[in-house]
Amino acid sequence: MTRLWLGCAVLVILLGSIGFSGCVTTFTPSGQLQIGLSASANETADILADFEASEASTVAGDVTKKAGSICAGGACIIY
Amino acid sequence: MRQRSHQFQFKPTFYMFVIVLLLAKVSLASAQLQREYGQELFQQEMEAPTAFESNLTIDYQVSNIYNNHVEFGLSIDPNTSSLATREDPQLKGVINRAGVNFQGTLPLGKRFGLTLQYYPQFENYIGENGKLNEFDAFTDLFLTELSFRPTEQFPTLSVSHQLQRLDRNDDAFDNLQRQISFRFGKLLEYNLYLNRFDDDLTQRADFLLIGSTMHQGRARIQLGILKALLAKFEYSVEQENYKDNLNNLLEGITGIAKGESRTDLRNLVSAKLIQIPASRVLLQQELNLLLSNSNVDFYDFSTIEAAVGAFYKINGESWARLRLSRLRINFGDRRVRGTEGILGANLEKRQDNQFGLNFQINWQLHKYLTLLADYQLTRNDTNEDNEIFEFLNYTHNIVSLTLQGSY
Repeated sequence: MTRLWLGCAVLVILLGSIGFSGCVTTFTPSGQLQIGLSASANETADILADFEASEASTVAGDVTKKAGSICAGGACIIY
Repeated sequence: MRQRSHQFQFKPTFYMFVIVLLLAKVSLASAQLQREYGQELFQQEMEAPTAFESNLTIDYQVSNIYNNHVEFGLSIDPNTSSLATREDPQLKGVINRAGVNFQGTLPLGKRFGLTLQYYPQFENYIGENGKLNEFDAFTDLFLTELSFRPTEQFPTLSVSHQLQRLDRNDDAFDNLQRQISFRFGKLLEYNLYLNRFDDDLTQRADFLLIGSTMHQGRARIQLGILKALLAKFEYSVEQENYKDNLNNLLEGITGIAKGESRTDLRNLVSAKLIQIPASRVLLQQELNLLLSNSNVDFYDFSTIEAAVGAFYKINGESWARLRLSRLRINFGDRRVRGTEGILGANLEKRQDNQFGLNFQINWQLHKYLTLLADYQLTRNDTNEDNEIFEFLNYTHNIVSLTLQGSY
């Protein structure tokens, strides 16, 4: 529970800092929250949308999705 | 003479000013007259656009996949599988997959939308003298999603319910997965996954054959640094609790007490930097960290992955993509066995290193037809010296061709 409150506090502080920093905060057409530090990246939206669509719902770095066991030669191994 | 010149300049300016004032007055008066005499009634009232448009799409996919390590991600159950008695654990095969995706969206008023999806898919395994047939599968997916978009500038709030049924020839795999999701655009989401197997009484030798309940929270943020430079950050936290129908073999290896259930807490942090040096080229560097803590120490591990990628848009729906990655897995409590196969607390902890390559090319053959060719290479090296773990020093190749149609 303490971790949850800590997480919420960090989120509030982060959003507060963004609000007071004067950065331009917008939502992209795909629903992403974008904080603009300088010039807008809207002109690059087309290729970015194509790239995001090409990315399958990958679970980068999450080897738990490949877990399993092998039984061969009378022995079973969990990997 | 000077005075006359001033008068000459003054007059046109004065007349211009009067004309502009008169025009403004006439325009205002005309607008007032239109309102007073009800002329606007004859004009069609401009309606605010609805947030969702009704549409129906039918996509079909046919894939042929060659996989030289079919067994990864599957469980070869020693009680039911005819493959369990083999000497070589490596299984090579071809998977033929065909599916049709029906999806429709219906606007409900101006701000709400209802999406329905039905996606049946068939999988056929070929190889190992027909012994891979036990993995042949039929999956059914049914999704219902209610979305709300308060304004055009605001992302969609949605709640969805998804049911997915997996039915393999080997009944040990048959299960029903339920997913309930709440989303706020791509900024925040919460997912509840309930995975239930038809047979939850038989004691299994693998967590892939055991039901679980998972809570997942995810937050994403995007930083526009320069005109063609973006940074993306993602944080995900998962808590997964497994059922306890485990056999003695698994309990013995992992050190789970009888009747105890496994609960994992996983934290995943991802940072990506995207550059767009030209209108058709996109480059990406990423760093992904995963920390998995379990109440069963055997399943404690952490991974760190660094990757670079490039994307090239050929035209329309045609593109090519390359990704190179390096991954290190550190197991918190698994000790290497050494050549003698003896376990000891002072032995080195198990560590795997992976190199990955993924190349994809998507070619638009026709307005409604695309062909996707995909090659994945994973080279894994483990620090285990014992020969029973030799299979973990592997090269995994997956080659697939997918024909995708859309109407």
